Amino acid sequence: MSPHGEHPSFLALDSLKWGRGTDEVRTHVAGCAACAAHLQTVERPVEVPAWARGLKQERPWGWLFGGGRLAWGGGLAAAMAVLLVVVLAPRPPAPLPSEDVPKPYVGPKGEPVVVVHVRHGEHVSRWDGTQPLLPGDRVRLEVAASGYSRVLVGSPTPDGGFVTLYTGALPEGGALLPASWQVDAEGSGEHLVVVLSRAALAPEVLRRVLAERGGPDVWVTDLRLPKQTAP
Amino acid sequence: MTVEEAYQAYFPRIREKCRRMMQNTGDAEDVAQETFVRLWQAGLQDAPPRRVVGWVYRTSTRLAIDRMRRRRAAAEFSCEETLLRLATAVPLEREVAQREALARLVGQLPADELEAVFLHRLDRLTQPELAEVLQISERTVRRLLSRFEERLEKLREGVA
Repeated sequence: MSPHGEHPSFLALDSLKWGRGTDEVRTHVAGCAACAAHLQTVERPVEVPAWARGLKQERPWGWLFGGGRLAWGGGLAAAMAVLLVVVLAPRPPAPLPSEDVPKPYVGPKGEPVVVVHVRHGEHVSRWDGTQPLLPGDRVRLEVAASGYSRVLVGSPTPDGGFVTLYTGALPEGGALLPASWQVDAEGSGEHLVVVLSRAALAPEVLRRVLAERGGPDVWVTDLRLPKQTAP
Repeated sequence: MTVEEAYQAYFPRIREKCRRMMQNTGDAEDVAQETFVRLWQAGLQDAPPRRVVGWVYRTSTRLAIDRMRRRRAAAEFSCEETLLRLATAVPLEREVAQREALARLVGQLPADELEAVFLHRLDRLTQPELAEVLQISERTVRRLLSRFEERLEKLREGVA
């Protein structure tokens, strides 16, 4: 039983369907209207909606790796992402002028912090969390993290895959990442995923980490940056 | 397992789990849907159910915390104010108070502590269950929960 009085945990209740659960849990459910009502709710047949039926067509996560400059696009299919990686000659991102490089970010101890810097024309500013990006803006990330030695930045693709945009070592305390990305005019926003880990992640581990949005010794966060494409 | 069978087996449980965590029913539906899509994309539908249910609890909790962080509701309340509400809630309103208060803490406490507290207080997971779902040791579970209880205790002492 859980420490919350007489009821078993919802995990224990939800696992009963598959024959798991102790006699104590089953006896409790037989005499508890609240727990029985929960089971009735989750075991009632439901209509499968179109979005779920559509998953039949969806292949498992695809994995694409690349680097250098990448024009994002909400409408880009995975094949286009492959072409971009191959066709666009990987080129080191233009460094920000030294006077524009923001000062190191100081965040609360323990929890990693990701800061988004946006270069619009000659002006570099820290993204405030709401301001829409504009086509042509360049985005660069600064990561402050204690105890994580690797960083990976990527973006989900429309078909359910994932493209890695940058991966590398992370110095103790964090760093302004050397890569930057130019915003294109496609779609209504950009979605970046930042993964911090203590060691390089094998593709199958990365896949699991992304699906679960975290894991042992791994920290994951999503950055959703709105984009203004119309004047 | 077909997608229809997987949906019937898992989605109602995922949805109820998300509703326990999130005040906004639209957000709860969105997180439930995202969790199910990830389950399918990860090819977990044919994994042993015990593993899948643990995965669902872990992943939906993380996705919900991510979603609540983006909502920035926490910015309106101080950490102390919110913890105090949690520490002093009377039993009758405790369930609602816990959900509201925990939602406000998402931007202010470490993610690992929040995950453990959400699963412990809202889903009633025991310490061994928490260790299994979060894939950490029971010792770490105890440390995370103790840290949170210490925060509450300090505030209770301040009120008394």
